[in-house]
Order: sequence, then structure tokens, then C-alpha cells
Amino acid sequence: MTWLELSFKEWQRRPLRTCVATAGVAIAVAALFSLLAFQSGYREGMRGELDRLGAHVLVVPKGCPYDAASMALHGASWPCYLKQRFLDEVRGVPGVATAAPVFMTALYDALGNQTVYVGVETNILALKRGWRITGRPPERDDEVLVGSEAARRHDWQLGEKVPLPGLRERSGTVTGVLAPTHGADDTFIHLPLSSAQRLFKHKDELTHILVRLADPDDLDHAVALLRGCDAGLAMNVVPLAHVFHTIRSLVNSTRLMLGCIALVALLVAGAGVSNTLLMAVAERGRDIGVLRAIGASRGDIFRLVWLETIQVCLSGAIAGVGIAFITSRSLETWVRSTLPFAPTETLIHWQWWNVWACLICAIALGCAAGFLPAWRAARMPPMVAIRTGKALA
Amino acid sequence: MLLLAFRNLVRRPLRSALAVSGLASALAVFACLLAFGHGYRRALSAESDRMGLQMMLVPLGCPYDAAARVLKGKSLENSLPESALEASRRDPAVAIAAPILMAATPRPDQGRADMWVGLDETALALKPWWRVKAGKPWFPDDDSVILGCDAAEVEMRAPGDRLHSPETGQELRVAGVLERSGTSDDSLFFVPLRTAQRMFGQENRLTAVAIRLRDPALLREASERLQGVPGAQIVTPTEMMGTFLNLVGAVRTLLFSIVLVAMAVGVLGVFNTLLAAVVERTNELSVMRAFGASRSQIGCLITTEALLLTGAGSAVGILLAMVGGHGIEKVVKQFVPLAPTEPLLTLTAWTLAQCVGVGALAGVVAGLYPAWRASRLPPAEASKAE
Amino acid sequence: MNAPPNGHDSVLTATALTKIYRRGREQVRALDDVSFDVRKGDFIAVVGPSGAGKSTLLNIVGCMDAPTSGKLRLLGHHVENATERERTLLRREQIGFVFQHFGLLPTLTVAENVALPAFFARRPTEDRVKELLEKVGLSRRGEHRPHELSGGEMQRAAIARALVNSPQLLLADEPTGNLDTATGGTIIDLFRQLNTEGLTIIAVTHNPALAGAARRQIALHDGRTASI
Repeated sequence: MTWLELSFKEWQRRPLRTCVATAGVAIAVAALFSLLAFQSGYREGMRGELDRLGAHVLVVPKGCPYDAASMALHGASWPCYLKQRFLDEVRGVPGVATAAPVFMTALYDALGNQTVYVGVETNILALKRGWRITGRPPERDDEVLVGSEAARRHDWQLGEKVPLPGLRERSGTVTGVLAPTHGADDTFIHLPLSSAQRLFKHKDELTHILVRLADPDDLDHAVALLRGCDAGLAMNVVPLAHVFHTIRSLVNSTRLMLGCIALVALLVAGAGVSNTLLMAVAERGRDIGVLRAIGASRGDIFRLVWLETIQVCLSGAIAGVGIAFITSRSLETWVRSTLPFAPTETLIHWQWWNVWACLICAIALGCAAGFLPAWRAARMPPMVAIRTGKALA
Repeated sequence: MLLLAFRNLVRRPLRSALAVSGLASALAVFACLLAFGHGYRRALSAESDRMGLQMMLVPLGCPYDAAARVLKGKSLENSLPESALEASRRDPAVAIAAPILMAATPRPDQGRADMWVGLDETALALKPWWRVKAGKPWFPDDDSVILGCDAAEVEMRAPGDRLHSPETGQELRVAGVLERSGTSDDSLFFVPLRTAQRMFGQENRLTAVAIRLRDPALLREASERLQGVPGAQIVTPTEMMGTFLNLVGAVRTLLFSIVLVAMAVGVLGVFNTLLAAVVERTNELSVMRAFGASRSQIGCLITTEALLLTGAGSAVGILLAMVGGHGIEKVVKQFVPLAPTEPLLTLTAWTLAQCVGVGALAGVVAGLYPAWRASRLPPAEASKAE
Repeated sequence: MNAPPNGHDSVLTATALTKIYRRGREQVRALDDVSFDVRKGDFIAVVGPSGAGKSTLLNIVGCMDAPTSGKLRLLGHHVENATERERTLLRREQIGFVFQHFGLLPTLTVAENVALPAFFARRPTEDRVKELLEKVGLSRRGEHRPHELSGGEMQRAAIARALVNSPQLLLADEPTGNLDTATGGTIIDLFRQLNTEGLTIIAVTHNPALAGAARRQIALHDGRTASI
């Protein structure tokens, strides 16, 4: 028998109470863990999205609200448009390596499912370095390139002539299927720009322009030039790095506040554990007296109770990590619905250091929480073991 | 009954204190959140309501980003040309178009940024609360400054005093001090438009044009027309407030959910405490039953103890929130953009009621099982040893 | 009978032991000027009505409490002024305890319970535990939990536990108090057997059979010894 075994067995005395205290720690740790996992996931997700977009600067029409970038990333219907002639001016700005025009529309069916059509020119390939196309990009008017998710959902095969969802009596030939990019592109249907403009009746208009710079470090200068050109007075130039920076700082500060509250939760759990152990010690007074009578020293008793507390906290932490793991999917869905600008990748990232951090926190909590009960237990006089006569206090 | 429950709890002070403190901390944060959200929304809508304008012409780019930059004292990425002002004044639907130039001079050692606003007389029409506490109601000359009441306090200036702006090297004379308006104007430094443009090197540029329409129903057509003004875009205050509130709302939802976690843990603590108390007092409770207490009365007793615990938790929590709230507010203001200068943490009666209500609910939930256990004790179980 | 059986060493000498408790404003003299002598191999029963101070005496003799005044010499140690450390050591190595309520930890097996004193002494436990379980006749109940045992078996396990570190003195507080007459009889037989093997035993008891089995009786009445 070891010290750990001995203290562990004492747990089982009041299973319900111990479980409740453990559950408290578990919940708090689950929250803390999810928080830690989330924040690194969000950052990685954002970076991934930025990379996948392939653009450094986004040119959108005027008057569009702040989430223009979000629309470009995730697909939506645009309320306003750019004139196609702006494209030439943008191309003429020094520092611009590629300016890829895009016309994007989202159509909704009766169930609220979204189909996003994206009209592009072939120079989009210069931006989308990560694309792997089985087949070839669309060249003629009725050809389409579909993302892997879209293909799966509608059960389309390469070379098939398919009805275009949301568009009455229109069909297209699938000339290419994208390998999964783990991004929004997987759900888009790409077609030639002119085709899209014609289909949706916005000739010579664009929804946005994706701009890739020759030198990404020269962002501010290039943005100033873009804004300074003639067309610059009629369009919004959005440097994506800045936008993500703003969001990142917002997320960071949120994270800080969330972290503080999670710590409060953990402390509350610690108080609960301390309380539970205090009660246990009070109840077990006689047994502790017996242990002292048969030769346990004060330090021995202290160690026992202390270990018990640490064990409770540690098992709570392990349970908490488990809970976080199980609920991570639904948690992610919920977070995505709450936060604007959530990247499409999984937000919650699993890293072992998170797990260790939480476990160490729990052990520290246990050490602190166990101190008072252990001290109380150690100070119990052994006389409690022997039934004292009625006349004695 | 109440007295009995109270005495029972006081018997084990440490235990009760621990359980109460746990719940109290969680409730304190809850109260802060509630108060903050309420205060922020109110302050923002107060500001937008009072402005009496239907839309603003702002430079291209992200308005949110621009606002954040101005607040931090960074120069704007872009600004409006004065031609935008002329274009809006020419529009038939526009009643008043007031130009504004905003800039900030950061004072890192004092932990704040001074906000300077350049105006011309048209702005007066849009600021009905512009009342001067002391001094002249408008700029007598170009080198004058009118201070919001809080700004005047901080700078310790009265009308007639000199005000030197070290960052811009401008010498100004305080022409007047405004009465408290309860808006962000209270902490601003107002100068004539030309002066501001000169001070910050923004000749012929503007930060925004505030527009009031002849008839609010003309909003859409006016927007479409003015959208065409080169170098500018239309933004309606409700839109902007909406965006901020959205973001803040999202943050709040997340914060609330974690607070719920904390409260759940607190409830578990109360549960454990009560359960232990019931088990400990088996004999006592059985004796009470033997003397004629009914099951529901015993159950009530335990529930009362639960409610007392959570009630104490609520009270302590609210106290904590009131005391610690100001510190938290200072921290939060640094993070949240466009934080109105009014105190955000307003503990209204409604907030208090919500906290107490939540506390009571927590008490009922926590006490459910222990009360049930207690009520099922048979009368006077012979006092056997454990 | 007063003749000490074998050995002349004194195990315990109590001189004018007094214990005063404060109860509110009252002072309760639980023990008043008690003196006696115990030699190696003695088997003493402490008898007397309730409230006479028997438990107090056992607490003090067992080094669990200190007397208000008086001297206690136990196995060569002066106990009345001993530090907690010294007392713990005595309780561990030299004294064995048996309680009325058995005092077994419910979450441990019988073997683990018996092993406890050796565990606290940081000594290996297995062989000694086996030996003792056999001695008290519980060798097949080692892996059971206390609640699976009868009262008599539990007390026998408690006695085994008390003997694990080979103490010189066994103290028992109403060892048959929670047992029926027949089972109580087996425990008394066990005590007799242990005493014959050389163990000094002091037992506080209301049980006339146990009092009779002892070689000597100390009667306490209102904290004072009546006869030695």
C-alpha cells in the first residue's frame, strides 16, 4: 500500500459528495481548456484563411459594411457592385502583382441552404496557389469548376452535365473538381466571369477584386496608391492584414476577459473542494483519531488529507479535459454562430501543452485547497478516538 | 423557520462562508457583466439618439477601423476631401451638413488621449445640448478652444486661461466651458474647423460630414446619391452602432456563458454543503419529525437554508461588483472601442433584481436534492453509532 | 490478586495524576490524584461507574492527552512533558489500542487495516500482517472489507492491528462493549492468551467477565481510585 492508494481509498467514503466536488473542478477545467484550445485554433484558422484567400488586399464597393471581408471569404450575396473598368486602374497601380476580378452571388433554396456562385477569370489561379484541380478550369460559358464539398453534396461527377442549383433551366458541364482545400472554396461553384455576369444580369460589374502584391511587406504603400488612384475614390480598399489585426486584438482582449472568468470558475471549484474536504474531515474525526492513536503522526495525517484533495482536483481536471474533448464539436458550432468572422476550419486545436497546463493548474489548486482541511485534520487530538464520558465537554 | 435555518448555517461558519464566497464570486462577475452591457447599450443609443442626424459621410475604408485609430491617437489612413462637404450641401434632400475634423493627441503618461474636434457653426444645429457653463458660447477668434466640462476639470482651465497643446505647438485661449451633456462631448476639446485643420496638418480635409435630412423618409434616395461622392461613403449611425453592438454582444454572450459555468460550480458547492449538513444532522432532524414536523416542513427548512446561502452569495456578490466594478471598468475601456465616457457600470434596480433572482434560482436548484433527502428521514431514527 | 506474574520491570508508573477540564465556568476534575503501578505481564481491568474518569485515564496512559498535573513514567519515558513527536512514537511502537467501536477504516480491506501501524512506521507489512491474521484466526478474511465481518471478527482484526508493531502494552477501551456475551467471551479468551504470552494489558470495561479474567482491578470513582 502506498500513500496515494491510502488517500485514494478514503475518497470512496462519500461518493456522491466527492463526485459533486470533482464535477465542479471538471466543469471549470473543461471551460478553461476549451478556452485555451480555442484561442490558438482561432489564430491558426485565421491565418489559414488568409493564406487560402491568396490576396493581400481586398477591393470592395463603397458603402459595404465592415464584414465585406467576411463575405468575400465565406460567400454571400453582395448588396453593391464595382465597375469592371476599375479593374484596369487597379492593375495599373505599381506593386500589384495580380488583380483577380470576382463576381459572387449566393442563392438560397427553400430550406435556406446556400449555393454560392463565383465568377472568375483564369488569373485567379495565380492567387490560389493551394488549388489542385482534377480536370481543368472552366473556359467556355457553360463550364463550371466545383469545390469538393459542393460536388459531394450534389453528387456530381467530373464531365457530367448538371443542373445548376437555384437557376431555373440552366445547366453546366463539370470540367473540374477541386481537391479539398478545407476552406469555403470547397462549397463554391466557380464559373467564367463573363458567364456569371450574364447569368446574374450584372454586365460589366464585379463584387470584389482580389489583389496580390508583389511585395507583401509594402502593404501600406500599395494601399495608399490604390486609394489614391482615380477609381480609388469610388471603391473601398481593405488591407486584409489590418482587418485581421483588428479582429485579432478584439479576440485577444475577449480571450483575456474570458480567461479571467474561467479562473474565477476554477477558484470557485477549489473553494468547493476545500469545503467538501473540510466536511469530510469533520465527519471522519473519530477515524482520524484512531489513526493517530495507532501511530500516525500529525504530518502523516496532513499528508493523507492533502493528497486526497490533490487527487480530487486532478481527477476533476482529467474529467474536465475529457468533457472538453467530447463537447468540442458542439462548442465550435455555437462559437461560430456567436462570433463574427469565424474561420471555417476547426477552431478548437488540440495541443498537449494545453492538457499539461490544465493538469498543473488543477494540482496547484488542489495544493492550495487542501491546505486548510489537511491542517485541520492534523490538529485533531487523538483523544477523539476514545468515547469520552458524558460529563466531559 | 427563517431563524432556525439561519442559526443552523451559522453553526458551521467556515463551511457556510466557503460555500457563500464561491457563489458570490460568480455572481459578482455576473452582475458586472449585466451592468456593463446595460450601461453600454444605453450610452451608445443615447449618443446616437441625441445626435439628431440620419447619416454620416465618412472616408473610404473601414469605419470601425478608423474610429479605433482615432481613439488611439493614430493618424487616419484617409480622410474626406472638402469637396464632399460641398457635394452634400448641394444635395436637395440635405437640410444640414456639418463638417467635423477629429484628431487625438495621445498622453501615454496620463493613460489617456485628448480628443480634438474641429467644427464650424453648422454643427451647433446638430448639438442642441451645446450650452456654455461659463464664457462665450462660440469661438470669438481662430485661436480659441471650448472645453467639455470634464476636459476643463482635467486641464484645470477656466474661460480666459491659456491652453497650450505641446504636440501641435498651438497656443489657444479658453473661450468657454460647456455644461455637462452626458455625452462624449464632455471630454472633448473643441476648436474652429480651420484651426483644427491647421493644427493637425489636414488642410482641406475632413474626418466626417454629419448630415441631417429635410425629411427622414428621404434616407434611401439621399444615400444612393451621396454614395456616389468620390472618396466618401455613407454610413448611418444605427449601422455603426449596430456593428459595435454586434461585436460587443458577441463578446458578452461568450462572457456570459463562462459566467454560467462559474455559477454552476458555485451551485455545486452549495449543494455539497447542504447535503453534508443534512447527513450530519440526521439525528436532529429525526427528532424534529418525532415531535410532529411534517415532511414538507423539513424540506422547507432545508430549502430555506439553501436560499439563505444563495441570498448571502448574491448580496456579497453585488457588493463585490460595486466595489470592484470601477477597476474592471477601467480595464475594459481600454479594450472596447468607442467606449462612451459615461460610467458604464450602472447597477440599476433591474440588474439587482436579475442577480437576486438568479441567486434564488440557484438556491432552489442546489437545495432540491438535499431537501428531498431530509424530508424522507423517518422520525427519530434511533441514535445508533455511525 | 496482587502478585505480579513474571518480570520485575515496571511498565507504567502513575503518580498523582490529575486532569481538570473546563466546562463553561465549571471545573471538572476528571481525575484526581490517581497513582498506580503496572508491571510487565500485568492484566488490569479498570472498572467503575460511568463518568468516573476511566476513559480519561486511558487517554492519558495512552499518550493521547496530557495530565494537568502529576507524573507518568511509561516504559522509561517521562510522558507528562513529552513532545508530540515523542508521544506519537510511543503510540506507534510501544502501545497498541483496541476500541469499543473497533475503529477499522471502512474503505480498506482487513489486511490493509491491520497493516496500518507498520505502514506509518515505514516498515514492510506483508509478512507481519499474515502472521497476525493467523494468530487471531482471520487468515481467510484478509481481503474482505470490515462491513462484511461480524462484530467479533472486526474486534479480532482490531486486536491484530494493535499488535503489528509488537508493542509492550495493549490498551483496550470497552473491547466487548459492542459484542454479545458469547462473542465477548472469545475476545476475553484472546486477551488471556496474549497475556499469557507476555503482553501487558490494561482494559477499561463494564463487563464483569472481562473484569474477572483480569489479574488485577483498579476501581475509579469520581476520578479517584477506590482500591488498588
